[in-house]
Amino acid sequence: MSESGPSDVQSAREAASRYVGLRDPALVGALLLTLSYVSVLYHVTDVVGGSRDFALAVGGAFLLATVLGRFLRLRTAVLVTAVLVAGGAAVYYFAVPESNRALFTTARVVDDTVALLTGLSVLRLAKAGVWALAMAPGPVFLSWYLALRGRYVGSVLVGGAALAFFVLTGDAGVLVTLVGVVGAAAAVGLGTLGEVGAVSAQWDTLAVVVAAMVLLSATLTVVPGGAAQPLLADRGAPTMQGNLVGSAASTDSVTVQGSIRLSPEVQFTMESEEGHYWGVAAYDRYTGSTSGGTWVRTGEAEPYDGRLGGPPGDAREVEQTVTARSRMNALPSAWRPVAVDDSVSSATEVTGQGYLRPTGTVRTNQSISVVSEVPEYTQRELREADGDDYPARVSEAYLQLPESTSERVRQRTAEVTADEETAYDKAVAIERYLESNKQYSLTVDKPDGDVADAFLFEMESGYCVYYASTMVVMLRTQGIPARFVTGYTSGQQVENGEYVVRGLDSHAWVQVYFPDVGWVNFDPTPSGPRESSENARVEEARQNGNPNVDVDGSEQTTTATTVAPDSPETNTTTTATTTTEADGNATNGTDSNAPRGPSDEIVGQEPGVGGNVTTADEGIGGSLPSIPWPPTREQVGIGLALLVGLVAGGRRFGAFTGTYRTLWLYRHGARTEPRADIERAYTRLEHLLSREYRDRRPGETPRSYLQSLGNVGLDDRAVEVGRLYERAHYGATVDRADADRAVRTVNELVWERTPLVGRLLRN
Amino acid sequence: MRLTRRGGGVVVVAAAGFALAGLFGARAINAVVLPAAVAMAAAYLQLRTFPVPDLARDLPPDDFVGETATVELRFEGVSRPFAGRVTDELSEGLSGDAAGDVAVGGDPFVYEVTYERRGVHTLGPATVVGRDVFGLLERELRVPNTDELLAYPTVYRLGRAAQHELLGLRETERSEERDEFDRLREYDRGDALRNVNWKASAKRDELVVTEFAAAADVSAVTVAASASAEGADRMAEAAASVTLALLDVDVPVRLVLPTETVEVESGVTGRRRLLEACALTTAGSAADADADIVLRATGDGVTVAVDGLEHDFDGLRVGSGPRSRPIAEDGSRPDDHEEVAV
Repeated sequence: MSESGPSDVQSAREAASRYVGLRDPALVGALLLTLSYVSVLYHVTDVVGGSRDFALAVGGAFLLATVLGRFLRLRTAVLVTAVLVAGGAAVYYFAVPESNRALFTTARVVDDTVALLTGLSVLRLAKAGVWALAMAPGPVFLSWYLALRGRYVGSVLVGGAALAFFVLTGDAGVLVTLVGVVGAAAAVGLGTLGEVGAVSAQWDTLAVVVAAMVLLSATLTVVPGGAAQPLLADRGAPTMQGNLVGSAASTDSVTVQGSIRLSPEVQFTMESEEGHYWGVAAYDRYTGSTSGGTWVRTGEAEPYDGRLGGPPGDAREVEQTVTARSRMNALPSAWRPVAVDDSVSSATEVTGQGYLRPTGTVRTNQSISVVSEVPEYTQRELREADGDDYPARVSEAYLQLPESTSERVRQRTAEVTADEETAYDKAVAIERYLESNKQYSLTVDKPDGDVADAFLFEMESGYCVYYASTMVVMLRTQGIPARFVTGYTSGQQVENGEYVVRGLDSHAWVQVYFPDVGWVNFDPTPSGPRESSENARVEEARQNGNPNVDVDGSEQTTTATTVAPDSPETNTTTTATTTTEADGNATNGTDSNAPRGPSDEIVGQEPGVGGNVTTADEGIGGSLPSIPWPPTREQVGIGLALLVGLVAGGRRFGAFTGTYRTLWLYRHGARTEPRADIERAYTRLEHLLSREYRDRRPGETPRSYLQSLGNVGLDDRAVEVGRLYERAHYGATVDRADADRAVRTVNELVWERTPLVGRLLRN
Repeated sequence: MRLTRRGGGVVVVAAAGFALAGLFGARAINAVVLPAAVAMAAAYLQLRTFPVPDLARDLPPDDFVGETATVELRFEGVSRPFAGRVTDELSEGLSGDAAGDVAVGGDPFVYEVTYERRGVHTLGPATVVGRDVFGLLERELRVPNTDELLAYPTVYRLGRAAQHELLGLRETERSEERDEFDRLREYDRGDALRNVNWKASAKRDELVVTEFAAAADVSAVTVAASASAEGADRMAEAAASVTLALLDVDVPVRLVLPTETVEVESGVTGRRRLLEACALTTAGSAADADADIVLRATGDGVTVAVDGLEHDFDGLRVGSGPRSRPIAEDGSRPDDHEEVAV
């Protein structure tokens, strides 16, 4: 056979890739794909800093590819990409501090890569901003170059690999991934069709498939490993504990949720002389986004290696023994934990923020003792511990805010703290402001944008996560280092020294750093409403007979009294120098109104006010869906996909040809020459008659056609139109009046045969 | 229906995503796996509805060996053009790049063939491998229509000496018929200049042309050609060259080939018939008892016998290249006015 084999032709074609220029529609798909993973990296630089440089680097890569794409060959382009990637890696290497450079062994890099690919967010990398800047230009250059040369499959491979990397690290949300996948599909589809010139023939098929991709991905889940975050449906509210403690203890981020519910089961019991907020984890990096991790903790956890150092100032030792009542991934303790049982010391880690964490799981009924050194301070000491001389590691990690943080948050905080001078007073002012101006509710709509901005300016109510996040952000805008802490409140005190802690006691609060004192707890969530809702939940669970709601001794007390002795005011009783300033009304907090501000009154909040509290339903359903306004980005995307899918599908399956045909029948259109008008009128008539009687047979003249129809009762008017047509068609003169008459007659006939209107007209 | 490389890649990516989601958490992998599944399902549905198209080939005219011509494939019966790879089978003796990507049902697929050998060649059947919109699945559709092309043997130009001999044949024929009186008539546009009677024209003021009364009766020259098995091609070339040269000088020809005998006069039709016969002829021997020119071909060469004299054909012809000139519609050839000084 002398035919050329298909492989020869293929390679010849691939070798001759040509520059398609910027007008090929498939380039839009390639652009979407590139933008999807670039946006992930941009978000990283927004959180960490350096977004302007990043934008410049990416823009430069685009420009380079556009300019060089005309004449650069593929091999040279790959070389340029390799140079970019190597250069980026070098930049990153030298940006990492000296001490960390020693960690760049091959094994370590491989480990880190594996960790990234199995779900570690890129935000956890050291110098994540520089990393983003270093890694972006290479793939952008190569994929855009390939797209400009018409090699769409190659471009999608490069861009898709970059996007896949971020999907695996978990930094790419569902919306971003979907945009990237749509872009890839559009590029490949339009490229395949464009190569053979079948775009006009098959674009509707492509549009239907892409729309189906979007709609199905937004509503279905086909992968195991827990539900991926669906774009629209909020299928049942998560529990507070699950959000804050449960899986967050082992993963490294907390994501702000919408409505949340309380779980009444007992989680653990704590034996301790004093009641404290039992902390589980602290978070330093704030991203503000509600679709990925809102709070991320950076840094590696180190294995526990003997007694740790305590707070920088005075402290007292507190021993606490936690007995798990169900399996736990956390080791709650008061700040600051320094020692743990020898029996479990080899299975304990210390996180970068200073809390303890078990490497495995704590089994039910297992008891573990933790020793903490709780900082001691007076209000005056806190006031005096003002100034900007924070240790470098504190100011680096705990003053961070995304560059896109809105100005109005800063301004509002400045207003709130206008009258205060010291950091401590400012913190108290912010705490009070949030307590009194926001209401407590477990039913909220998760905001789209930045959490703090939304809570401060758009939301009326929220729960502890919102309060605590907003307070930390407000403090940071004023240059005060603060961090977000999750854990449990002290729980229900059943005897002296024993506390029963349930899932609903999981909580989020704030720690503020004071030089020479250390981290001090603050809690902006109004405790009265919170406790009310918690009590109500426990009562409800008891009445329903839920299992594990109580352990021995906890059934009698119907009010869960929460002790919050860690707040500065209550701590002052243990020191001799109690401030006698007007606000120094310190109480040893066993009443449910844990005092917050200098005065006794809690402005705006009273215990037991049930009106402010709404307990979340188990699910969201029960009300009719209302049209959300303004629509979120996801909803706009879904709507668009639906519209495109319907229109394209209609064209694909011929739903419109019928419509077009009907319109054509009814409309004569502009009048032109009499002859042409009569001919068109006759054509319409014929179409109408073929629908009602039969088609005109090939070879049958109009006259005999109308005659034979006349035998079965055809209107005389139709016959007359036929006669006019004959005269026009076979050359006799016809004038305007004839044409108008013909058109009018046919219009009449058509309308008379319309289902409803016709009946009226005929009578 | 089978997976393409792209389709295989998509399946691998989806499977890997599925596995990674199960092992390490779902993240946004659903937004990758589900579209992949949708694309594959859509590809399957699309391919199922592909019709087997009807094929119409626009063939080039029959031409000489060594020429290149274009073939157009038009697909009909496809209401909705789809992307596909068309491969047309070419028989031996035709070479060309007969495969390409095209919108099946849209613009025709055009490719070039070169005639390598003389004879009948077949084009087809064609294979259409249809692809879905993304190129993930493909389906092979076989279109059985075939068409045929004829390639003429190379025709060589004969040298002066040979042309003399041929002319001699004509004259010989004609001198026997010289009884008839040649009429003189006025020159008409289109008359060959060699028919002009210069002597007579000098006497008058206008050109006069000798009209040979017996022109129509010039008897045909018989050429007989035989060949051994290896010499069939050479025989065909030699026969074509000689007979066409005869036709050039308006001598009717009767060609006796092993397969058939043709009698032609000068003109387009005649040339075509000769070339066809030469293209189709096979090895064998022809009855050459009363032939004026006898050609005998073996694997080494062709001998031409005229009037008892034998020549080697390679010596008769001019140059090593063929004189393949296209035959124009009106039967003329570019150098129709080449004259031979008698």
